[in-house]
Amino acid sequence: MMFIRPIQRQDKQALLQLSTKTGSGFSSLPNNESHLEQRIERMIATWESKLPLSEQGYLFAMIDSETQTLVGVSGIEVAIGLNEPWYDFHVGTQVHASKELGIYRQMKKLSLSNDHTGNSELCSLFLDPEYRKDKNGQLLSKSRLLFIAGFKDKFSEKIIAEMRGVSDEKGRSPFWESLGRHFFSLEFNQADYLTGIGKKSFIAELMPKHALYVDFLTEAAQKVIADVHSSTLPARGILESEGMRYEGYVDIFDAGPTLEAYTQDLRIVKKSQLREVKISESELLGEQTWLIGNKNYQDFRAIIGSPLIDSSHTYLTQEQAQALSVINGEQLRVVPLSEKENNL
Amino acid sequence: MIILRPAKLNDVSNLERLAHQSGMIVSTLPAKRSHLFNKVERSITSFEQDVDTAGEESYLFVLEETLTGQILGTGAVNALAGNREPFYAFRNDIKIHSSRELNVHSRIHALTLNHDLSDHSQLCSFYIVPALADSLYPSLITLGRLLFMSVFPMRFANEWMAVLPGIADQHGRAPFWEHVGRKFFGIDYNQVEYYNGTRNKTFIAEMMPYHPLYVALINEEAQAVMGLVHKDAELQYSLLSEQGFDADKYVEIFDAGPILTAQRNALSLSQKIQPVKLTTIVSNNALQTYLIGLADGNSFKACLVQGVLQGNQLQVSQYNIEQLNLNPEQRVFCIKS
Repeated sequence: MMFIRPIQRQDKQALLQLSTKTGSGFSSLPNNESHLEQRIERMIATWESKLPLSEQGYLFAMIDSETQTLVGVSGIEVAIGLNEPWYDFHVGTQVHASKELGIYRQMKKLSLSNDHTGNSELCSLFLDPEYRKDKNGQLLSKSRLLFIAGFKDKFSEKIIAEMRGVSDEKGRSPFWESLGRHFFSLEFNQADYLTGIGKKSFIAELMPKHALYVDFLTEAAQKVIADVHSSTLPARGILESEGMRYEGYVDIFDAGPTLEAYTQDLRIVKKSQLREVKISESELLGEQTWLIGNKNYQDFRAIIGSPLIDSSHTYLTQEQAQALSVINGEQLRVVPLSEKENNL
Repeated sequence: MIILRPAKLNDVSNLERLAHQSGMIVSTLPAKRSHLFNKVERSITSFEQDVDTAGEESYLFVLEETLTGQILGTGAVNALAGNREPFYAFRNDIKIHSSRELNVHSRIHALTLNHDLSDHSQLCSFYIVPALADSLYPSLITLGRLLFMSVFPMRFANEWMAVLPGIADQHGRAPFWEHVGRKFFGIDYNQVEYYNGTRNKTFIAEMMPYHPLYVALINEEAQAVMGLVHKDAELQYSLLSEQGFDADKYVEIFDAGPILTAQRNALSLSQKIQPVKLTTIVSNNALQTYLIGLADGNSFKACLVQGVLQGNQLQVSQYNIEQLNLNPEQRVFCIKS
């Protein structure tokens, strides 16, 4: 059984191991020991309420309870762009028209923006390829939203997520080749790595400050604007099903889309409810799959399961209660795993 | 003798013939009788006016063979390139993109639409019949105008410029237009040149890019022609460059042809202009060719003479003196070579 818990110091080696499996285009989990160590410390300090807003972030680990191994991570940054500027391109429209000549043209343009400054960001989602099954991806991604639903006051009113853009098996991004490459001599992989270790704003110093007309990019680059890497399609699908949408912002390097939503509009925030724990000797199955989390901020846990849930109680097995670190009488936050499931 | 003189109304039909010959290369010399008529009329008014600061004046000169009355070339000067309307150009700006952290320091070129050149005086409408292309007469048209501008400084700005045609093939395909302008207009180069010659310039503000265009993102075929001059205008280009005009900073917005600019005082010409008296030749020294300008009230003409310069006396043949119809009111300037 899989469960979600806050990251711990002892997870460092497992994280480092996991980061070797990410490949290019996954900038937020770089294979860099000191960086990962700092990241873990920052997360722990956040839970201990020791950090200013600008540095707060959460990282969750997905644990296989049978082997007690870490098989995935996912994170939330609380407020991006407060220490260093947060950049993306806004994809906008500019109309060039002359009544006298009878010409009307719509031009797409990209403008460097800091519009998401202060927003919360879903980030660093990575699941060991061997575990990409049994709704594990959904647990990893959606448990963050359940955490946000439980502790809304700790997050911004707006949530974003950057989706990995298109690159080929050699790590070449058509968008980077057409745009970024001209502005400084780095390979996309290097730029991506520098981003991951927190150097993105240095890179952005070199990027075009003026709006760019999309027509001046190569066709290959134009085509991938706001497209995700094929391996990211499931992740995109999950977030979109939870109410996040592409609203015209893309990554400055690979043009992957930024998905966004107002926190209060997220399905899990709107629909999740509290139920009391009742541990039963024999498993009582319900008819649908649930995302279930405890109410413990310091030791947040989440699982997926199909227990019987009535209007007041959630009937957990001993194993589930242990994974969630709860005892009889405690409160749980529950929500159907997906929109398709019946509502509460 | 061939002289450069202000255009007159009865030159219009000859000018029309020349304008047809010049084709689309000289967009400031439209082959349309009514346009040419207006241009000559405006020039006549401009010469007649007493002017103390540059304004909407436009001066049109013709190159005339005085024996036959044949018109062999043209050249004009606009007191201000953009008087009633802005004059648009692309300025080739250099932006420094620098990061100490990444040890990167790059110079990024970007074309910015601007109308900085609106208050420059503009040399335009240069044309000479092909038979004279290899003679000294092209320089008579160009240096003659520069001499005129130097002799009447109050009529002109301190900064001068000339727009030269860029690269386009005989079918009117201009690579820069194909990869830049067409994206914004969706029409052919010939068409936009026609609008540019006949419409007011509002359409440029409406249609051209508001944002700087990064040169690195422009198609390479178009990048390659930026600032290159059409071969028919190479002569003009070298004449102006020799005088100290500089083509580094601006290009034309449709075909990216070079725009040459200069400060009046920085021109080598300004050091070489000398007021002289014309006298009949007595010296036995070898004759040299001089470009002279004759200013009479508000009028001005220029020609090439063979002579000997001694002090402030330029000795020329009796024939030249008769041809030039000198009178005591005229001021005469020569350009020492």
